[in-house]
Order: sequence, then structure tokens, then C-alpha cells
Amino acid sequence: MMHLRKIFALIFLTVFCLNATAQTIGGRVVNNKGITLEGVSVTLRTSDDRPVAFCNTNEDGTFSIELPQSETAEHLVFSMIGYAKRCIALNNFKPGQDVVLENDAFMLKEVKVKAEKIRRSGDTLTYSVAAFMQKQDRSIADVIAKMPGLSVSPSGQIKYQGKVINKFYIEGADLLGGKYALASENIKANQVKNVQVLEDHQPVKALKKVKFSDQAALNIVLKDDAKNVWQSVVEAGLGASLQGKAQLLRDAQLLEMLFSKSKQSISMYKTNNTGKDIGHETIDYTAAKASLKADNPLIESVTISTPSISDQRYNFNDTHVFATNWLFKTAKDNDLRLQVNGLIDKTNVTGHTRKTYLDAGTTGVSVTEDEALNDKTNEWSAELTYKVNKDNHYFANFAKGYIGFNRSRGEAMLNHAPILQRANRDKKVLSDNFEWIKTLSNNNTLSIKSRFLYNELPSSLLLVNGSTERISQQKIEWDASTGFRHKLLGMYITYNIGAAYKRQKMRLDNFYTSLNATYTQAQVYVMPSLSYISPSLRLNAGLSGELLYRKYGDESKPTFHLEPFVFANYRLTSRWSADMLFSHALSPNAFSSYIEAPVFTNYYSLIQGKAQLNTTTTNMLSNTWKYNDVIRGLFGNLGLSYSRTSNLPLYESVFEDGFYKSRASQHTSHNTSTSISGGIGKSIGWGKASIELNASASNTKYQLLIAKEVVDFTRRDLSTGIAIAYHPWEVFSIEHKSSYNTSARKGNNHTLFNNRQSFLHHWLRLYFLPGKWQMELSNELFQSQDKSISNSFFTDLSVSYRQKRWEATLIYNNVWGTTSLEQTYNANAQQIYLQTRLRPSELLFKLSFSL
Amino acid sequence: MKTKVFIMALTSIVCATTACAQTEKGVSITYRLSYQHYQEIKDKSQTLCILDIAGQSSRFYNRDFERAQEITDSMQRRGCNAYEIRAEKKKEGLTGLGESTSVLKNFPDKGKVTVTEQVVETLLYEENMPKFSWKLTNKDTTILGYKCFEATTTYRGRTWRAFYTPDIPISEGPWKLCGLPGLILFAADSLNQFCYEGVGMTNEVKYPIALKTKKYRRCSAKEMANMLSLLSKDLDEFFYRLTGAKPQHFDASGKPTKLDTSFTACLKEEFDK
Repeated sequence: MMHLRKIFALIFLTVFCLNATAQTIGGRVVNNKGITLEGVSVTLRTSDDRPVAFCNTNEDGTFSIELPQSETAEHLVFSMIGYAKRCIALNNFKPGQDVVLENDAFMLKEVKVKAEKIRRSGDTLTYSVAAFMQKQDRSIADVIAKMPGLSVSPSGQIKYQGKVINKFYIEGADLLGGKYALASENIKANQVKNVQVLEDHQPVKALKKVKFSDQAALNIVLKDDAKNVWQSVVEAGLGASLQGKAQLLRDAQLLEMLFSKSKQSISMYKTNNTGKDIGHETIDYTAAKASLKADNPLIESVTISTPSISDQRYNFNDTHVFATNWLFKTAKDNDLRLQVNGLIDKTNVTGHTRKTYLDAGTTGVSVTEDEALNDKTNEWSAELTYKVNKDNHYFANFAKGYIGFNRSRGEAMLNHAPILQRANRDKKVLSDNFEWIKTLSNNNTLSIKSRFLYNELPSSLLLVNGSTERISQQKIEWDASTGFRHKLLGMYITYNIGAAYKRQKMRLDNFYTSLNATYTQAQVYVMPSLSYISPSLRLNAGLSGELLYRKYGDESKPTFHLEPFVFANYRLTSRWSADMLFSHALSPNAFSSYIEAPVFTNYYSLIQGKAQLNTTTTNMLSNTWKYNDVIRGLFGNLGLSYSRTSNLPLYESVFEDGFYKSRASQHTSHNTSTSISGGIGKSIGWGKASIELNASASNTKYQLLIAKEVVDFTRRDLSTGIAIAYHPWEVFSIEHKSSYNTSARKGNNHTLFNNRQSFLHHWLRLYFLPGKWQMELSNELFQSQDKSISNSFFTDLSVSYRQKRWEATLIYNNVWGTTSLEQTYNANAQQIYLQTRLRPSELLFKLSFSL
Repeated sequence: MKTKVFIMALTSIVCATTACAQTEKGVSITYRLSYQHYQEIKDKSQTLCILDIAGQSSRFYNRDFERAQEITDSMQRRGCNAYEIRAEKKKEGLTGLGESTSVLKNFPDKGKVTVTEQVVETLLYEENMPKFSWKLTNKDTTILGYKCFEATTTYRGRTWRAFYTPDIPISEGPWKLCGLPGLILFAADSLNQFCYEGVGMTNEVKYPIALKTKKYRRCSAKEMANMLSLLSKDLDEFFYRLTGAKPQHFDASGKPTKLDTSFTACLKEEFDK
């Protein structure tokens, strides 16, 4: 029994000693009136104030806190809202003591919630315009250009993550189709609340789970005061050139817009002779894929090569643009849209060009041209669209008509010999696209698609020997298909069957020959394809079997070929995604390449084809990686692509009788291109700063026939750029852009044609923005790496005073009066040197009213 | 006399209205929530959540969700249809899959927590405040100008990492998280499916700490988790359990068909783990 007591006593002592090593501190917390405080936070902290243990006081104000063995605490901290924090060194704390807290009002250091710059909701990104807009920004395009992940080209085309957008909606409605520059450059930035990016956007609702897109769409969300009201802008500007012969300048516009639930409209008339490009506002940036392609006249436009600077510096224009666009929402998902556009332009083209044709002899042949031309264009187009876009029913019909006249007249010195130039190029196009998709029972789908195009191209050309060539081209093309889709093993399987017909006619009269030629092409195709969609993977794959029959003159040829394609999109994480595309396609050569008779394409160049019904094949593989972190405003993309085109006709060229003649040879060539491109966009928290870096590099291998020998050439192009926008203070803002371009051509055993051309281009715009004033100092430097070519530097100044309803602006362009710019660059078969006359110093005063 | 009564009644109505519109004393913290809806879809959505603290109680709610509710209520009162309401909400970027959790701590009584979720109707459960077993680490950072320290805990299937600031001695945090010797300004689960980041704070509370609706269906925490899981996995079954009627779906030709969407919801409270 005695032994047992000793053993218990020993165990008790051991446990007591062990407990004693984990120190427990206790006490009571009261206020200055002696009332106990509940819920006081008690923390044990190290010498660097890091909490290592904590507890809260009980109802009776007592606490008991245990010090972990692994930590060394230095002091106890008592804190509670409404009381001053109290800190007691552990050495001074007596176990069980009362700690008195004094009353003290607590106020948070307030932090205002900044408007979220970008937010993601599913596959929609919403960019807040207020977060990116700088004081100098006028149009919404100015702000979009500063949003990370988005870019706007000088011609107004918008890209998201390096890919052009496929739709531009205003308040969810597609008013403009691809002619969205009209809206992006005319809707004021301060009228827009948000810009939404709809990633991987399929515009046809009935195809959402079936046909995938790697392109995004943009939706403009307007502020309430910009909706349901007619808005007008009236602007008029007058000025004069300050160098050489004084010329009166004008720049005016009338603009009217309405965005309501049932109707949208943008109409405008713009005119100027200041060099500013306004014609691009009616260019369709998304039409290429949807419609059959109209031919262009074989006779080239009489223009000269242009330098790599803004066309506003060298464009001697006199332009009138008219556009009216109307969209009526006839029902919830039904749209009726009418678009009419007109362009009347008269441009004076003046410049000196020296072209060296690499394939015209072993040492090449140079041609110099000094041209002074007058180029007149008068073109009109009208488009009527009716669309029903429902989840289970899609109907759309796009009817379009275009008529255009181009007249060029002028004088030129060709290799120092005076000649007259005259070219007429007219174009008439009628087209209709129809598509119907209906979801049947069990989610099976039936579709019918039809595309039709009629194209007329009368043209004439005055040749260097004084004779005139006349060409009349005509094309009729039709393509119709029907499809059936059903679901099998979790995938959608689609079977498309279609037929296409094309007939092209040409009447040619020149001093060599007079002929009528007809080309006919008929095609039947079957294309089964599958679509698979899972939360992470979207896959489209198909194989088209095509039976093609072609006839030209006495030649006819039936062929059968298979065209496979695969598209896959994989979402790796919430931030990373990757796309992959492979396609193999066969294309019949162009009709003109079958014509053996000489066809003049400009006043000293002719081309002769070969009456062989050949085809070219193209294999294409591309892989794109995209990254976006909307919270940090960081976007990035990297694209790799490879393409190879085989069986290209190879031309044998020679300078003979004053003409540059290219004749199709027995040889064929192939063209291989590998490229890598990428970009990073980052929005930075301070000063609404944004930075964008982009780079692209390509390596192209091709062949030329030089003195009957097939010569391999390699061309390497590299382009890098940086753009920074920074608005550090209310009264000052800065925008900077720099780009570096280099192009190197290397010929196998033809080192004579090896050449590298590089240039640097910088812009620096400084904005001083006190109150309602805006002063802009814009500098541009064009630096050629060719030491024989001088650098060009430009400065433009403008001062504006802005009120809510009106704005007055004084513009002084080309302050230093730089009058010409030189540049050399590489083309595949040419080396080009050009000297371009620039616009003189000009002063312009503009008044603008918003009604 | 009648006039006096009318004036008094009017005055009392005006006073009451003014009192309702006034902001209360307390603190209000704004968190940016990044969250994943489904295990299968890696896309994340963002929304702003508010933690209002007044006295012993607090209310944590999704600002955007409540804004969307306000738009719905106000447009419905004006006779707008569902399409118009949706279009209006879309313009404000409020049409994403909603995260509608609201958490009231020390509500209705001290030591109780009330959680609501809006799924067709409001589901509500009430239970004792969770006792988080926080483990303090030696990592620190600065958020909104406050020195913060890291702590970790595990609660109902998820491991949470939080940064709290002892400089704001309020034992509160986003969602149900609390119990640290300072306000939690950042919290994320180990799978990063839910992440709360403090982005703003004021000394005013806009709304009283109270339930937004009086119409709700009581359930347990587990039942709520099951319902949310069912909402993603089997919408028809979800409606059946909630309303007792099974919705029927028809294709374009009028034949009955089935919904083919089934996902695994990301839940903050996983009872099966």
C-alpha cells in the first residue's frame, strides 16, 4: 500500500512538472470604473510584436492564456474596440492581476473601394471605362486602346489577346456588323460605362455548344444619359497650309446617334482635305469569313508605295464619307438592319520610287518612277440584314450591293522618260447570304445555307507605249449546303452536304491580243464533323470530301480530295487556356493564272499564265496560349504557327521592250512560313498607367525563278513594340509608343540580293490638362537603320478648350516643316526605295458642338 | 384635431423613414471575393462582399447580389418583365452565377450564427457560432495599410488561411470566419476556390444588422449544402425537393426532353469530407 502511494505521488509530481513547463498566464480585465470587460482580445507577443497566442476575456473579465513552449513571448497586449490598447511586459505582469483599460474612441483608417478595373463573370470580362479613361481621351477607341488585353490598330481594328474580334455590340445589339470603327471612333468615352469582352464568342445562339470560336466579341455598355436620346455632333474646321502654295484646309462632320431598346442608329457625313483617314470608318473588318469573296480588277490601282508612318503625313486627299446605319429590333431576338455607305475621294499621289525586280535577270533590274497622279474613287454600298437569333432557331439573310468607280490620271517619269498614266477600275458586286438553323425533336438540328455572288469588273489601262488595254471581268458564284446534326456518345455529329458553282468570264483587248475566256468550276462536297464540349475542353473536328470539276477552254479536270481540320481549346486553369488548330486545304489556282495571253496589270508590267488546271495545297498548324489575371490586370498571349503552301506557280520574269514580263514556267514552288508572336498587357494601379509589349517574328522560305534557275530565298521579319500610357496628375498625361521592325532577305547562291532593312519608330505625346484646357505636344521620330537615309522628326501641337456642349481646337501640324521621307524595304521579289512628299506645315481651327 | 393627428402621423412617418435611411455606427469592410462555381469549370468569378459590424453582431453579404435583388424588386414593381430585368442586370454585370450567401453572426442571439442562401427561395439555418481552432504562424503581410499576421484553421472540409490585423481588435472576418485577435482582411481556402481580399473599409454601416427577408425556409447546414449541391447536379430534383413539382422540359418540337447539365458545386461547407 505504501508502495502504491509512493508511485501515485511520483506520477503526480511528474505530471505537475510537465504541466509547469507550459506556462499559463491569467488575470482579469476591467475598465476605469472597475467594471469587468468581456471579449477583450488578449495576445501574447514576441519582441517583434508578432502574436504567438491569444484568447478573449470571459463574461467575468477573466482570461487564461497559455504560452507555447516553442515561442518566446515578451509582452501581453490587451485590446478592444472603444478602449485604448494596453501593452504589459511579461516580466511586469503579476499572475491574477487586474488590467485596467481606458476609454478611447476607435476610428478605422478609412479606405475607399476603388472601382474594380476589370471583373470576370463566367466568360465575360467587364472593363470599367472610368478606371482606364484619361482626361485627354475623346472616343471610346482611345480608352479601349489602354485596356490590357485589348488593342486598336491605327485603322480602327480591335483585337483581344492578339486575335481580331468577331462582333462589336452596342447595348447587346449588332448595329454595325464589321464596320464598327464608325462607333468606336465616334461614341464619346464619357458616354460609356463599361466595355465587356465576351470570350470565345459564338454569335449564333443555336451553335453555341456545337461550333466553337476562338475570337472574342465586344459589347459597349452605355451610361443611362446616352440612351434613348438623339445625340448630334456638328464640327467644322478651317485652316491653311503654311508652306509652299497656300491651300485652304477643311475638316467637318455631322453625326447623329440613337441607342434605344427598339432602335439604334448612327448616321454621319464627314469631309476633310487634311490627310486624316476617315474612309476606314466604313471598312468591314469581319466580312471576309461570312461571304463569298468578290474579285478585284486585274489592273492594279495606280498608287505608289507608301511609307511606314501615319498616312495623315503624306495623304493629299479630298474626302467625303457618308454612312447611315439603322437597326430595328422587331422582336426580342429579331433584328432588321440597313446600312448604306458612300465614299467620294480625290487623292493626289506624288513620289519617287525605285524598284529592283530580283527575278528579272541575274543582277535584277531597277525601275525608277516619279509620279504625280490624281486618283478618284467613288464607291457606294448598301446592306440589308434580317436576323432571328434564338436558342433553337436561327434565320439570317444578308443582301448586299456595291458599286465603285476608280479613275486615275497623271504623269510619270519612268526611267526618266515622260509618260502619261490613265487607269479606270470599276467594280459592281451583288451578294446574298442566307442561313437557317432549326432545332428539331431530341435536339437534332437541321440547317440550310446559301451564298450567292455576282461580280462585274470593267477596267482599262493606258500602257507605256500609248496603247490602251481593256478588260471586262465577270463572275457568278453560288454555294448551297444543308446539314443535319444529332447527338451521339456525348458528342454532336454534323453531316453537311453541299454543292458550289462558279463561272468566270473575261474579255481582254490589248495590243498583243484580243480574247474571250471562260472558266467554270463545279463542286460537290460532304463534310461530317464532330463537336465535343466539356467544362475544360472544346473540340471541333471534321473531314470534307470534295469532288471538284474545272473547265477552261478545251481543258477540263475532275479531282477528288479530302480536307481535314481539327480545332481544340483547353482551359488549363482559371487563368490559362490554349488553342490548337490544324487544317489541310486544296485551292484551285486563280482564273487569271490560266490565261496564256499577256495581261497588263500596270502600265509597264504584264503577266502570262499557263492553261493548266492546277491546284495549290496548304497545311496549317497553329497553337495559341492565353493568360489573364483580371485582378492584377495582367494579360498575355503567345502564338506559334506553321504553314506550308505547295504547288505554287513559278513565274519567269524578264524586262523586254520596255515591259516587265512574267510568264508562268513549268516549275512550281512551295512557301513555308513559321512564326511566333506574343503580347503582354498590364494595368498598373498608379496614375491609370498601362503598359503593353508585343513582338512577332517570322521565317519564310520561298523560291524565285532567276535566269531559269530556281533559287531558294529566306526572309526573316521581326517586329517589337512597347506602348505606355500614364496619367500621374490631373493636369498632366503622357503616352509613349516605340516600335522596331527589321526584315532580312537571304538568297541561296545569290548574295547580291541579300539585304537587311530596319527602322525604329517612336511617338511621344505630352498632354497638359489644366481645367477645361488641353494642350497636346505630339512628337514622332522615324529612324531608318540605313545610314544613307536621314531620320525624320515631326512635331504637332494642339490647344483645345472644352465646355460641356462645345469644344474649340487650334491645331498646328508638322511644326518643323519636314517635306519628304525616305524609306527602303524588302518585298519577296522586289527591293523598294521610296521618297514620299509629305504634307507641309498646316494650321487648322475647329469648332465642335454636341447637341 | 384631425389635422393635428394627421401632422403627427406624417411627422412620425418622416422620422421613421429618415431613421431607416440613416447610416448606423459601426465599421463596414469590403472584400473582393473570387470564387469557383463548379469543380469541373476552372473559370472564376469576382464579386464584392460587405461585412457590416455594429455592436456584437455582424452581417456579411454579397453587395452585387443584393444590388441585383434591388433591381429585380424595383423593376417588378414597375411592371417590367423578366427579360427586361435580366437585360438591365446584364448591363451592370450582375448576371453571373450568383453567390448569395449571407452570414449574420451573434444573430438572432449572442453565440448564434444565421446563414441564408437565395436559391429560388431563401434557405436559412441557424446554429452555434463555430469555434475555430486557429493556428498562428510566423508569416506576416500588409493589407490596406494594416500589418497582418497569418493563421490557419480547418472547418467543415476546407483548410483556410487567413491574415488578420491585431490593430483592428475586432474578432471578425468574411463569411463565418472569426475568432482571431483582430479583423481578418484576407482569407482563402487551400484549393483557392474561395478567396476573400479586403479592399475597403469605412466607419459607417449602411443597413441594420437584420435579415433582408422574412420569408425563408429553415433547414440545417447540411441540408443547405445538399440543396446547393443538388442545384448544380440535378436541377429537376432540386426543384422537386423545393416545390414538390417536377419541371418538365420540351424540345423545339414539343417533345419532353431532359436537361443535360450536371456539375459538382464548389461548396464552402463540405460535410462529406
